[in-house]
Amino acid sequence: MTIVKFSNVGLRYSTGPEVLHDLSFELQQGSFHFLTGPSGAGKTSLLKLLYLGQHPTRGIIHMLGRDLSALPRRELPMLRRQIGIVFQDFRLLPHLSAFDNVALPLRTSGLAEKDIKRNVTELLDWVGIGDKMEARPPTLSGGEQQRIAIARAVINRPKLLVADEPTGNVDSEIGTRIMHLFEELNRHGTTVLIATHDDEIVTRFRHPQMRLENGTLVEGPKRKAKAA
Amino acid sequence: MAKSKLIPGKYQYDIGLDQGAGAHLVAWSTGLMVFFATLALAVNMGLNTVTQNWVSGLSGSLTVEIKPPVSDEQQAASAETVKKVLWMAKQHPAVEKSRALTREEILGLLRPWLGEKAPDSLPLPAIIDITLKKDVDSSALIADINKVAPDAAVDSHADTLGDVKTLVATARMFVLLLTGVIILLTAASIAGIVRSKLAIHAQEVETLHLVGASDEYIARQFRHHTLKGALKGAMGGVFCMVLAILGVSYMTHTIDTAIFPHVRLMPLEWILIAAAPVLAGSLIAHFTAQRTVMRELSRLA
Repeated sequence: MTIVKFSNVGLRYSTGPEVLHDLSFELQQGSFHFLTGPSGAGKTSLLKLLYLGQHPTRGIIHMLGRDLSALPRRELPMLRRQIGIVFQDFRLLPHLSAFDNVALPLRTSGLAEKDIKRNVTELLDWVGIGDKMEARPPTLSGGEQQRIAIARAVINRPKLLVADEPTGNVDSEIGTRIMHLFEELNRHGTTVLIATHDDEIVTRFRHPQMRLENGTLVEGPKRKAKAA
Repeated sequence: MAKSKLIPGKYQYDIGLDQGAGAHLVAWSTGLMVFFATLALAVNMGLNTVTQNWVSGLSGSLTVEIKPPVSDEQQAASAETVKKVLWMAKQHPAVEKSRALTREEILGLLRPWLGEKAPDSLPLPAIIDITLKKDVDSSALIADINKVAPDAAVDSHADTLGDVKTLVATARMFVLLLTGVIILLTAASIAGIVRSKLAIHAQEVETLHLVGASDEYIARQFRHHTLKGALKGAMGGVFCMVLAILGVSYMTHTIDTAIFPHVRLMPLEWILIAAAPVLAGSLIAHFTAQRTVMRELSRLA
């Protein structure tokens, strides 16, 4: 089953130059890819399109079976709840506790509070923040904030998980645990796409790569999609 | 709106609406507007009471004025005319009661203009106060008085009453217009505050959207925050206004009621003065916040 399908997608910000050119690729359910490329290649822009944070300026995107160009605004939240995002800058809400930050996707879905408490506590324990559930993000280290951001991204068991440098601020042991968590989710059917500069992770975990250079996909499922 | 798990019963916002320097802007803005709206309502009610006092004082009565005598002969004739008018009034079916005012009473009416030392030789007109029965037409009575006393001036107060009613109606219309302007200003200021809060918290709003929050979920937080602030502000505004009313009432209680009729509000009117602006201010804030947030969010990508 195709989770993501890009057809000749281009993106420019306002009247600036095009930052992504003619991207055409498909991501199948249960696939796991690394998104690599030099700084400024367009990795973050591609992730924005994937997590529905930006509209393409041209081309067609199908996401979880829906054509985004024909998707009414009121249906966006339902689609977004099936996508987990780990932002490079975490995007944690500073006045909320670690617990409440992780609980956000469940609350917006309308889950009962007792289920939220059970799920969030379990996940925060798993990522090693169980003893800091009431701490506000500004009082936590970069690595701890990153783990909260990851917990928030996966708490909903998303169908698609996109992560921007998820191991960038943690030591190698935590980085490995995070990758194992992503692989565990992947084994349960979540499609995973991780943008990273970390060659060691890419080499060690041996998942296929999508490589962007100057806004163009030079390696990855693009060729497979064209062949199909 | 999130309910904090570890502090039962305490609500908190996913967006930091109750934090920072502008957290109480809604309360201040609504408080000020409610203060003026309450003032307008109190003035309106006061005018209503004053009108009723004046109207009940003036309608249902006639004043007959018989010219002051300038010679002894005229004095006797004048006294005879008074007797005739009183006798006729006593027989007339439209009259409840009638009486001639004493010289002291007439001097009392003139005191604001002539002072305490009016000369004894001052010729005074004879004045007869006639109280009419309820809902009777006074034109037949006036015609009968004119037959008995052709030179007497009969004042049914219709002109004065008409002027008073026009004046009060104009004042009430102005107060109503002022209330409308206050309501519009309240809505406009709330909308402005909500828009600026949306701009301040744009990144938090975007994050909420990206983790799956609907526009309604976000609007609910703004609505709740605005309603809470508006309720606080409105209650403060009403409290200050009630204090002001009591203060004005205390300072004016010595003024002559003929010049400045004292306004007495019924318990129901006090409740209305206290509750209506709070309710109206809160509802305006609530619906303005909802409408503004939904409209602004619908413009986002």
